[in-house]
Amino acid sequence: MARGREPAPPAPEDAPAGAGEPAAVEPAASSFQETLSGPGYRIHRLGWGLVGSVVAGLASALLGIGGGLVKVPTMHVIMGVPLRVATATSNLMIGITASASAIIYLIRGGIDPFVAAPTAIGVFIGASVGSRTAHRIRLGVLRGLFVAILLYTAWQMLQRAFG
Amino acid sequence: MTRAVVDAGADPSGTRLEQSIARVLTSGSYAAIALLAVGFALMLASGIGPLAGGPRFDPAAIPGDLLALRPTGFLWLGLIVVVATPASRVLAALIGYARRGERRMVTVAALILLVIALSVVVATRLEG
Repeated sequence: MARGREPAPPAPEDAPAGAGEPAAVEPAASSFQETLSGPGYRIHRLGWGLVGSVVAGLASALLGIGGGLVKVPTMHVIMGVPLRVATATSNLMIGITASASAIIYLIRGGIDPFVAAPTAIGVFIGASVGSRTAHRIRLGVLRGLFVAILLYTAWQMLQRAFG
Repeated sequence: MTRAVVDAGADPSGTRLEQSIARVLTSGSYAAIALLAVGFALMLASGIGPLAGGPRFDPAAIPGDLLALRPTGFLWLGLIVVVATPASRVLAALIGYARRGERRMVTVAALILLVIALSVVVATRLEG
């Protein structure tokens, strides 16, 4: 783990540009921020990360898109989290935040078990395959996939807005 | 992203904590998918299609449905496990951090659970 003003270890393969650089970029990093670092990278711009998370929540609630579309770029590009760590963290966060709304839908009777079951089984299979193969896929391909999904979602939103 | 993740390679107690959290997540996921798969198989065996329109959620009916091998019992129980698993993971993390004496991470985990609980309470109050 990166500590205090010690030089950070080298950035991992999928760290964004600037990750793993010495703390000179952010000399006043708080001790809490220092604990939020991983092997080969250091978290920075935590405040902007929080702003990005709020935007992710708003976009998710207002537009019906997954918050991961905002959270992953926020963590990767702004906060310096490696892409694979950012996608894994986003998955975990979505699971936790979505569970709150899922409980509400369950109580209100908004879930159809006959539709939810096959959907959940399909998602489980896809997520299992994805998480096991993600580390074998070249980072450029992963980035390309992410950009393609962002563009597709943007196109869909444009169609809904003006179509 | 947490200290436990960061230290997992060097700190044996951090590794144990990560393993116990992973166990909660994987066992919850597998239990949920097993229940949903049984429910889905029973659904198809009963000639019920996914677009047939499911019954409303009635927790009291679940034990009876399970004993009678009705698909809805397995489906609802599977969905309850799906919904409960992420919160259980946070609870497991809270207990693990408390054992390690990491007060800051205990606070973070407790706040996450509080937010989940608050959102449910607020939503059900608004509904009422």
